[in-house]
Amino acid sequence: MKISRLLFSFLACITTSAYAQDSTAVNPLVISGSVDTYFKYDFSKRSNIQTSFATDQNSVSLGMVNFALKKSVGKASFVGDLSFGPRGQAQSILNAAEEYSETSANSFHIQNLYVTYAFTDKFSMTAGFMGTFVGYEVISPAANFNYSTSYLFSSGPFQNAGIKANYAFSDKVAVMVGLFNDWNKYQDFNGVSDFGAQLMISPVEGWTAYLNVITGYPSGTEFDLTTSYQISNKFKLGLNAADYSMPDDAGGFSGAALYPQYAFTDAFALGLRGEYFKAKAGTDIYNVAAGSAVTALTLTANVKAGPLTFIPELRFDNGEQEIFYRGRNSAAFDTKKASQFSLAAVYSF
Amino acid sequence: MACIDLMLLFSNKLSGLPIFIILFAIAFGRASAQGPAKTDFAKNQDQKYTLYQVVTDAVRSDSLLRRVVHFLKKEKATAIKQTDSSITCTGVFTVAKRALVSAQPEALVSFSFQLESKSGRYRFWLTDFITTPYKRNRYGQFEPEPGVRLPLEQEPGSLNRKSWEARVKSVEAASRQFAARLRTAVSEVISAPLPKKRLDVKKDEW
Repeated sequence: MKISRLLFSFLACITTSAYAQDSTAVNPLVISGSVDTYFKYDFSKRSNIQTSFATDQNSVSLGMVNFALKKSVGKASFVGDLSFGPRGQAQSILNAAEEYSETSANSFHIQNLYVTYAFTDKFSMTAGFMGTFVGYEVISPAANFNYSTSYLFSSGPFQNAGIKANYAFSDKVAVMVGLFNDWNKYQDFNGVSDFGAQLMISPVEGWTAYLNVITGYPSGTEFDLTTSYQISNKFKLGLNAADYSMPDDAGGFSGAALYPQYAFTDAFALGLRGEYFKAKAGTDIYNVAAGSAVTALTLTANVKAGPLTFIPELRFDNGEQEIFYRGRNSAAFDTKKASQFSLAAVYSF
Repeated sequence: MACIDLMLLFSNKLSGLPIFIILFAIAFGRASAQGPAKTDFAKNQDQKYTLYQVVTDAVRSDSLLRRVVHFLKKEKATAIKQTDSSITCTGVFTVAKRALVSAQPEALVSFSFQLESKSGRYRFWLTDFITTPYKRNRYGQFEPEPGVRLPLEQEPGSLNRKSWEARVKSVEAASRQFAARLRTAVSEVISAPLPKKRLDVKKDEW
């Protein structure tokens, strides 16, 4: 009874936040989150394309429910950001047991859990577990245009625990340096072993570019460029390019993805993701054989109705080698091509 | 006032009525009181939303402009330009979705401000409202979407009309708050801070 009352109060609170917009005073407590669900159909009639989320074939499946709290008091602030559901648990690499498992140890996934102290307007320090600073796409479906994810996203870090210092020289230039655990680890048993840095530049209004590096042992070294330019209110162009090397020349990847997006109206936008991804010699990555590459073309629409976004999507992948299944009865990879359709609904609050 | 009158009426003659009638009276009273105040936030001759107010309190022109500039600097206004009888600048404020215990930044709003004074009166208006929506970033924090600048007058389609209407109301409320702070800043008596008293405890004196 008490739990249902609590839940009702919380839902009432969220609902109110969606409609009561009558003040400029920003309360320090910020509540936000999202809920998502999807249907996917791969034309090979089985799960085929290696996307981090939207994995289930011919099924109305769950993404995640995500709750985030932020509060600031003076110069100190915290963010606590939790998610529940396949996208936020087993599919997000680590869960309560810090392992990838569809069947065990699923409890919740921490998206962000950190504290920040702003010493001045320009200088701040942050410690905790944070969404990675590397790459264009993120775990939260509300922050991505496409619903399926790129090979670059799936192969890079999802989150980094550590401590970082941010310094903003101006609105146009900022740097971040930090020490981090291995990728996607709440706790690092071999010590804080990664160094990360980011240079942000904003040459003109609407254009931001991030040059990122994260390096350490045994994580390896990744260089990353993530940039987006809102050329007009309707047209946005994004680019992500990355190169990753495992330690001891054991392999890695390199690739680039281009993200042109055009908003035809306030309710309808169309976007394309064109990606080239190559696995370096040494290790296969997401079925992409070592030394070979895959190109992927994803056509995505966003239909917005207030806080709700419908995301229909068509995706075509084409490997240099046979890395996909032709049909349901294929015993091994027997085709270079794969395609899928998905329809997702994402509600943000 | 209407609210108080109605409540007195109900308490004297109809004291046994259920509480919902009193609540209705309060709601009605509020609606009546808010009505006339909306007339000064509307679209101007250029079809741009504008908050326009005229203040007739007598304030010396030089003192008025000095106080207004001081206020605008405190509000972090930019491009402040002053003549003998007028001031222009640009400013920004944030509008937020509010809930019981929380608020969520919704849009950064920039605006143009102009003030003119004449014969102890002054008038001012806020217009050219441009909104930049906030979006949640990878760190779970809200930030303005870089490069997106939407005039407040740009009406969306039916799917997003409700949230746009709410945003117009938010901008109106924020503009009124800005105007109220300005009027207070102009009318306040500014006095030099008093010297701090020091308490000297002397051993020999009681």
